[in-house]
Parts: sequence; C-alpha cells; structure tokens
Amino acid sequence: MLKAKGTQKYSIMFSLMLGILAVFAVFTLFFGVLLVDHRTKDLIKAADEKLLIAAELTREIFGADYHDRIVDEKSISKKEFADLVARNDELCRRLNLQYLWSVLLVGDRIVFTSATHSDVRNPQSHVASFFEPHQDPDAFAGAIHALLKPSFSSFKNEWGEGRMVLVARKDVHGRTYIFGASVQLREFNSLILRSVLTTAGIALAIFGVACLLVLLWVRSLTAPIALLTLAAQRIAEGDLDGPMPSASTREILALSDSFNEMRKRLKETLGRVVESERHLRTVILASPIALWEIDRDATLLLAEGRAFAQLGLKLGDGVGQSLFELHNDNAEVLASISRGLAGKEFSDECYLRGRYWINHYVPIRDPKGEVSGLVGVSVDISERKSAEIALKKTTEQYALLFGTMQQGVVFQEQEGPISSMNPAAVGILGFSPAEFLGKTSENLETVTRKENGEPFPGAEHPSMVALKTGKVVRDVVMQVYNPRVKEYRWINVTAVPLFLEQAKVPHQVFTVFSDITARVLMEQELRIAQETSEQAYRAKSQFLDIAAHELRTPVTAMSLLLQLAQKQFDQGRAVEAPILLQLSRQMDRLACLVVDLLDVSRLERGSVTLRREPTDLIALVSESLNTFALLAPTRPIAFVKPAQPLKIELDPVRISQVLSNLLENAIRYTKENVAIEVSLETNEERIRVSVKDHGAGISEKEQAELFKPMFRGVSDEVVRSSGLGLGLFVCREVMRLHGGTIGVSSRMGQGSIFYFELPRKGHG
Amino acid sequence: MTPSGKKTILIVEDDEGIGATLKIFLETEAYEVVLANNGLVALELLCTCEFPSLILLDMKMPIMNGWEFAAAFRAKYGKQVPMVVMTAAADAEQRAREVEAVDWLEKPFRFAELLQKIKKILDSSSLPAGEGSSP
Repeated sequence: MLKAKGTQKYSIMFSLMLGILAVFAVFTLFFGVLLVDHRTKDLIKAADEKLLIAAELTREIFGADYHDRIVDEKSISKKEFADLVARNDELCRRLNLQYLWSVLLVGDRIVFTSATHSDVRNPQSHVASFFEPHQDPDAFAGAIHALLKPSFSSFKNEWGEGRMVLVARKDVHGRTYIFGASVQLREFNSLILRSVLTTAGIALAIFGVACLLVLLWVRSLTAPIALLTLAAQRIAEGDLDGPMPSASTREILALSDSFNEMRKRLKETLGRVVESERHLRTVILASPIALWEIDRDATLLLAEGRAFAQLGLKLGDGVGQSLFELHNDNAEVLASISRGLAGKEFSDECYLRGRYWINHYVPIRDPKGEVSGLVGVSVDISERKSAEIALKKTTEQYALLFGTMQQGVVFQEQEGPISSMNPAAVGILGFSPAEFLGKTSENLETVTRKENGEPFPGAEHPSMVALKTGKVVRDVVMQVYNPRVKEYRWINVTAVPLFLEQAKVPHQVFTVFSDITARVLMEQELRIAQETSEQAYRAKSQFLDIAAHELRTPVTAMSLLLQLAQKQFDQGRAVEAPILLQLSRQMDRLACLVVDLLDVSRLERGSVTLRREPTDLIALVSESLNTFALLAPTRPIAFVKPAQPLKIELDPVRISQVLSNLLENAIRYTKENVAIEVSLETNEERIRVSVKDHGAGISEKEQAELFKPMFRGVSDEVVRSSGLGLGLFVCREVMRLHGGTIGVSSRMGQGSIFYFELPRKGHG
Repeated sequence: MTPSGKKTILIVEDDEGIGATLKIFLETEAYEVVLANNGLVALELLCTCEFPSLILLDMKMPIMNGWEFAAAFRAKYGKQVPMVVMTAAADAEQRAREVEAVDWLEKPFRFAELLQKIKKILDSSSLPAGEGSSP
C-alpha cells in the first residue's frame, strides 16, 4: 500500500465499498427510524383505545353513581375497597395494563377512590388506600380542564415508556371525579429491535448485491490499471522495453499512452545518463586525479582515477581498509581526514609517497545533518610543484641579479607605464620608485638629450619604439638629467619587447641601460687630446714642410752658385764677385733660419734667460725703426712717442727682436708705399707699443691661433710669403718672460694693430 | 726664337739667388733667359720680351704663385709651351701634374740635370718657338 504524508491511501475497491456502506447505513437508519415511528404510533393508538375502554369499563363496573355516594373516607369500607382493588387487579392482568384507578377532587385535595397494586400480579405489593391524597395533584390539571374528553399522555419511568388516559366527569354533588388507566409499554424495545433487525437484514441483502455489482464493475475498471501498475513496476525495476497494456476506456488508454511516452522518454534519458556516466567514468579513470570516498570510520569505499597509479596502487586497492591505517605514517594526511570527518569542507596540499598532492575534502551528511562520510578529490601536482620550485629558484636568482646588477633595468607595460625597475635604474636616473611607477617614457619628468645635445622626444625613446614596432632597439646613447647629482648622465639603452606566446603585439618591454658617463667623458677627453695631438702633429708636419722649403731655398741657391763657381773655376776663370756675394747672403739667411729654430726650441723647453739692463725704450724703438728705414727705404714708418725718455729694465736684444718681428710682419703683409704707424703710450703701470698696418686684416679665428708656434695664416698673402711662422710665437714667449703681454686687434679688410705691453716696474 | 737663333727660357722664381744663378748659367749654355720674381711680373714681361720656348716655374711665390701663373698663362696662350716645375716640396711630381708640366726638378738640383731635361724637351718639341698667339 502506498503511503503519503499522514494520510492513508485506499484501493478503489475499498473506497467504493466504504462509500456504499455509508450510503446503506444512512438509508437503513432512516428507514429504521421511519418504521419505528410508524409502529410506535400504531402501538400508542392501540394502547390508548385499550386504556379508554378499560377506564370506561371500570366506571361501568363501579356504577355511574359510585362517586355520588362517597362523602368521606368512611363511605367505602376496607373490605369493599379491597374487593375493588382485587377486581381492578384482575382487569389489569386480563387487559395487560399497569394500573387502574380513580380519584375524586375534594376541596383542594385529590384523593384515591380506587386503585390497583403496584404489581398487579403480586397482591403483597403496595397499594394506595381509600381516600389517600394523590402526591402529584398537578398531573390531573389537563384532564380536569378537558372534562368528559379523554386526556392521553405519555410517561417514562424506571420500567420504560408508558401511556396513561384520564377521563374526568362530574358527580351529582358537582364534584369532579376522574378514572385513569395506564399501561407500561413493555414490548416497545423489542418492537424497535425487531424493526431495526428487519431493516438491517433487508439493507444487508441489498448491500451484498450492490457490493457484488460494484466489485464486478470495479474489477473491469481496475484491471487495466493493475496492468499499468505492473508495467510501471517493470519500468521501476528497469525493464524499459516491455510493451504497455492496451486499455478498455479512453481515459485509461490516454494514461497508457502517457505511460508509454514516459517510458520512451525515460529510456532515452536513462540512455543518456548511462552514456554520461560511462563518459564521466572514463574521464575519472583517465584523469590524473584520485577520486575517493570514505565512511565515517574512514573506511575507503571508493578509489578511482588514474592518480592512484602514481601511488603505486591498482584501482580499487585499499577499498574496505581504513585510511587511518593506510596513511598511518603521515600525520599531516591523518589530520586532514579527521578535519574533513569533523564536517569541514576545505582544500589542502600534502606530500604523500614521493608526490605532491592538492586535496579537496567534501563531507557527506545524512538527512539528520550528521557527517556520514567524506568525498575527496586528490590531484597530483608534483610536476607543477617542481616547476614552482624551479620557478622560485629562477625568480630568486633573477631577483638577485635584478637587485645587484650595475645596469639599470626597467619594465614597461603595453601602453608604456613603468611597472618595475631595479635599484641601479633608480641610482642612474636619480628618481625614486614612486616617481617612476605608472609613468611612461613620455610623461616621466626626466630631461633627456640626444648625443648631440638636442632634446630626446619621449615617443622616440627606445622602449616606446620597441613597444610600437615590436623590434629590439639596441645601443641608443642618450643623456639623462639626474636630479639627485644635478648633472647629466650618459646612458646606453637597449630595449627588448616581450611577447606572450604567439602574440604579435608585445605586452611588455624590457629596457636595460648602462651608465656610460665615465666612458663618454673619458672618450671626450681622449678625443680632445687626440685632436690636440693631431693638430700638434699636423702643425709640426706643416712646420717641417715649411722648414724644409725654407731651408731648401738657400741651399738650392748656394748649390747652384757653387756649381757655377766650379764651372768658372774649371774654365780657368776667376770666380765672379756677385756669385760670392750671393753665396754669403744665402748663408746668412740659412743662419737666420737656424737661429730661429733654435730660439723656438729653447723657448719651448724654457731654457731662454733674459739679459735685463736699464734701457730707454723710446731710444730702442727709434733705433729699430732707423734700421728698417735703411733696409726698406720705400716703406714710410711714422712714430708717435712721448717726449720724455722711458727707462725700464728689459732685455734690449729680445725687445728689438719682438719689434722687428712685428715690423717685418707689417711690411710683409702690406703693399709698398703704404704707411706703417708705430706708437708708444704709457700710463702709471704699463707701457704699450703698437704697430699698425693697413693690410688685409686677420679673421678672429686666425687671431686666436696667431701666437701659437708654427702658425702661418692661410690667406693668399700669407701663403705667398716665406718664413717659418715662428715670429709671433717667439714674441709671445719673450713678452711672457718680461711679465708683459702681446696682442692683436684686427678686422678683415681694415688692417691690424699688433701691440705689446710691458710693466713699468721691472718684472720679478 | 731670337734673331740670333737662341731659344728663350722664362724663369719664374722668387728667390733672387736661385733666379740669378740659373740665369747666368743658362746664358753660358747659349739660351736667352727672361727672369721674373713672381707670376704677375712674368705675365707682364711676356708682353714685351721674346716669347719663351720653355718655362721654368717655382711654385711658392708671393703676389702670384706658380699655380695661378700656370692657369693664367694657359688661359691666355694655350698649352704649347712646355713647363718644368722647380720645387722644394716633397711631392714635386704631384705639383707638376697639377699645372700640367712636362717635367719637374726637386730642389736642390744639379745644373747637369736641368740642362739634360731642357735639351730633351726642346729637341723633341716640333713646335717652332714664338709661333701662334704672340702679340
């Protein structure tokens, strides 16, 4: 029998029977009551008739004048009254009545005038005496009122239902007297019982027939249901292939069809479930996991998954054994199992039998909510773990490298923001990490310059270029301003874009840079030194060319003159005087050159000493000018001088040499007949001698080089002139030795003024 | 060529000693010699003197140097007069090429050498001297 929440379910048959039974019970009761009522009425009617007859009969027997002669309690003797009672008892017995009596209203009293024994069959039982007042006078009110009409009433006493009749009349004295009879309806109960039994018997017969009919009908109705039930049971038992029974009624047929549909659907679903279960099982078996289940005593119920092989177990090994025993050597695992069995759902990692595992513990609870077992999934993460360890090692090495390397390293994300950098980067660039992070090369507050000093645009920064192009940008040299040390640092930058897997766009750029400031500065110094030395070498080489040329010329002349002299001598002639004169001149020239060279050499070595003596500078200048006037009579020289002599300590030979040099230059670089002006000015401290010419002038660039050794101007006029170009250098050195200075002011095309200044107080 | 049949040689040399000595020597070898102490003087002299069959040219001179003279001369008179460069520089050959000279002499040199070169050039020259654009 099926059970459902609190209510009992009954079979159709049982319900029907119950219904029919209820209906019949109601009907039976109804008809029974009707029957009893009908019979009771009949019975009362019959009793009433009998009672009235008995009452009338008693009055007839007593005689109509019986009450007329009653005056008081002595009107009837005891003997007569006993006879009356006996006669009444006899009548009662014959008529099967209870009592027969009469009463008379005397004044306000009602007194017995006749009676019967309380048990008419027992003469010893109680009987009322003559003229005994009735104990319940109210019982006669209805009858007195009705007068002559019989008054019927029902009563109930210890023996059951009863019926009573009272008939009131007037005697000759005008007093009311009443005859009464009562009957105890003893057969009532048996009558009702008989009626009920009859009714029940009929009802039972009808119920039996009805039940039979219903049984037959219900059977025809429930048979297909039963078949369907059987079919459903088969389905429940897993037989999804059996056919559904056919049905007699449309409803059942619909139900059967529905069942069939349900069966098909169930079959399909079950097929899918089986398929997916098989699939799931394949997955579990093939997965590198261990799926296990234990009951509350930690007994292994299930152990599946390929990972068990890692433990050296075959599938199903250990099932039935307690995990506490299987892993009794691993406190960590035991603690986790206990924790899971305590109802905690959690995951942990453990090291078991040489492998690393990650375990998920899920407690199973029974309907009461108590832990009934534990399901676990364990995944072998040994490979991942070893990779992690290797990674950790690599990361540590990397961090060490990153932290200690001298090169600055900066990582920037896809759009350029800086995500990390090493201490070297902070040191080189002079920014704190907080000032770096999140900034890009474009908005970083650094000042960068290119090698040539031009600003370096942020978008052209190697890291930004590498991000944009996805290509490595190598060895870009730039200067970056370091606010800490407040100077520019030179860095060599290489930016390497980093790609994730097959990505075409870099996700990061790795920029490494070295501080090459020291190297660059050294290179710069080296370059300057090299340039200086190359310049010196070129100058020396140029000087050698010039010197060779200058020396070759007199040598050539002398050689030719000697060859000529030789020829004349060979021809037996005297050597001509002009030849000898020329020879002498060329020799002087050669000697002069050699002296110049020696001078320079000694000045450079610092081995020249002055021979100072008190000298009148005006006289000295005048003397030199006179000599020049003799040598170059076509050159007018003007001399502006103070009136007073100027006597100071100096080396007259060297000062003459300086003046001669300046005059020679003036003459050499100006055309004939153009005046040269010499002036001598003085103040408290210094004396200044100037030589002004009206030549081509000297460019500013050349002015700076003028006093260096072996310089010769590059202008046409200079090239055409001969000389070693040592003059001005010698002049400068001589002035330096005197504690004076030498200088030039000149503009192209407007001539030059060369001057030297001497201190009035002797040097040193 | 002079009426006496002598060939004329123009010497452009700023150094007096060298120029005078060469003049004396070549005159003894029966050449007519014209001496100029720079390029400009030489160009001026060419207007009045006998047109030379050969030019002995120094390179480094004031006022107008050898290169300028050579260029001016070639522009005015063409290429028919052979030139011999006399130079104290180490790259005499290079300088000779620069002014399209037929030969060169490195200072100092010997007369014999000079004479040999002059004779060789003048003997091989088929051009009659003084012909052409002489004014």
